[in-house]
Amino acid sequence: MQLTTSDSTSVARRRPISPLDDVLEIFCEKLQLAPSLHEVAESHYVAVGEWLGDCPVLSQFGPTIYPQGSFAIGTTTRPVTRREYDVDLVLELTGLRNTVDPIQLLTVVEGRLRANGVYAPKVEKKNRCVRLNYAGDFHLDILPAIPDGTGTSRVLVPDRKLQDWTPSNPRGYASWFGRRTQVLDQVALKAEIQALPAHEPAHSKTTLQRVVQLLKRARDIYFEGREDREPRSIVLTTLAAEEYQGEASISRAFGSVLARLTSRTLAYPAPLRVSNPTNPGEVLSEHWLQNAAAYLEFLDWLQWLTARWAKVAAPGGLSLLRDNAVAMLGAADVVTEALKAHVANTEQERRLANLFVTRNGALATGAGVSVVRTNTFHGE
Amino acid sequence: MSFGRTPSMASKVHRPRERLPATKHADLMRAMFPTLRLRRRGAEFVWTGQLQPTDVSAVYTVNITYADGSIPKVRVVAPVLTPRPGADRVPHTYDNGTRLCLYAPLGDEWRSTRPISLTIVPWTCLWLYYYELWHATGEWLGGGHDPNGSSEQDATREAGSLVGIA
Repeated sequence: MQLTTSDSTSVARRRPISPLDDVLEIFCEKLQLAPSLHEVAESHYVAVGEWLGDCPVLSQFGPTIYPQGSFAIGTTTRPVTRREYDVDLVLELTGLRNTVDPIQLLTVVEGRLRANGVYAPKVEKKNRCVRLNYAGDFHLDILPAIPDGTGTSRVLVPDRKLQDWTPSNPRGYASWFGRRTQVLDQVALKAEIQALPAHEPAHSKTTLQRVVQLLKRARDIYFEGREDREPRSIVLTTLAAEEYQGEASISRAFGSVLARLTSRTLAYPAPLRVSNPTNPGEVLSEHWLQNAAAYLEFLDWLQWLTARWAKVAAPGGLSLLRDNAVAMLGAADVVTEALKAHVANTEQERRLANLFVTRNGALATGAGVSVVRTNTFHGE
Repeated sequence: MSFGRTPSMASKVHRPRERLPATKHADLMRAMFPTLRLRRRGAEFVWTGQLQPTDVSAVYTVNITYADGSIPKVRVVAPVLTPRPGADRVPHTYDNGTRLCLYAPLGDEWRSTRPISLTIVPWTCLWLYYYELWHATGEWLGGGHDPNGSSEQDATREAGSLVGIA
């Protein structure tokens, strides 16, 4: 057993017990597409890709299929009002040019899927994609795309009104997001290295991915019942990734993203223009530019979330933390489960004699002025 | 149970069979938890100060009293401890829920040879943490003696020398 008289000598090893970071982490983990379902979705889309690739018409144009959106960048979040996760796929036809009509292309894709007995009952035609419904689990949205002729990962996809093609870059976006998760602020890193979660699960996500999941979840709670008004996931994801400063702690990163986002909206009188950073021609926030009321609702939501978050992160005790987290994120049972999973982590450290008290009377793992020795809470 | 020691404290906690005088407890408290301030009331030593088990926990003002030949007593001064809605008392307390029960009284988890700073203070932090979790979840998740039954909730105490005190 090691005992130190000063915290400062061993600060590099000390990690404060952080119920908030643990709860947020575990909550997101419980609400994302489970690894087993993720594998199922993957095998389905590979099979769908093969079926489409064998189509006599489509096969002439070099079809490839790949995921985009939250499935591709690891930010899936279980929807509040329905059970299925969105899995967005791109069917890129590398040999086509923009002289092809997007509706006709969609019709070919739909026809090919309906020709397969397994897919036929699952097919649903949507505005700009064809959907395969895997009831209760997820749906695969297949969006056709063609190269934009620049020889890059940029593509053209059917636009919202389906009259023409519009620029996009799903692969470029995913790489950009991946790079943003790796941003490390050296100052923040130094200050927070001890705040890294003690129990890194095998499928652990980066802090930025967690921040995005939390934003989307809080959005779903606030806009429940009026989903048509809500800010798009891709817009929230882009804003979060742009404002993320590399903090290791989820709670610090989330608080800082909210603050920076608020400053950004205050500094800019008109609706924010958010573009795909890897294809500036793809304006992600076009609905704000067309509908100022929707942008005002986003601002209201941001204000609501900032107030909620201040309560969650306030030093008011773990019972208030639980209540305030539920008010922000819903799913009271999941929040409670997450809190209990956090305690299980602490208990593990306690058993291993790795739980300490710091000079200021806080619990920490790794080091402190005294280890928490074995005890038996007694009483009447 | 064994106690580690640092070179600077070696001479003070070296002889575990000998009762530690209250003045020695005070020296160690000052060195380890300088924010806990000592007042003397005759033979009684009273430490008062703030503890916050985690950065989102409430800040608690606690009172630890000790006199030679007595046992340490811990009370939470503020905020006042309250039962959950529907519960009639706060678990793991004595004296109508004002004094904390931190260890098995018949065991050797605490003895007068052991520094309060290495036992009572860490256990108080831990108790406050579990108190908040009890409010949050309705369950005492810190293990210990269950006053309503004989089953023990927690394996951690099995490393202790006296198991199964009823």
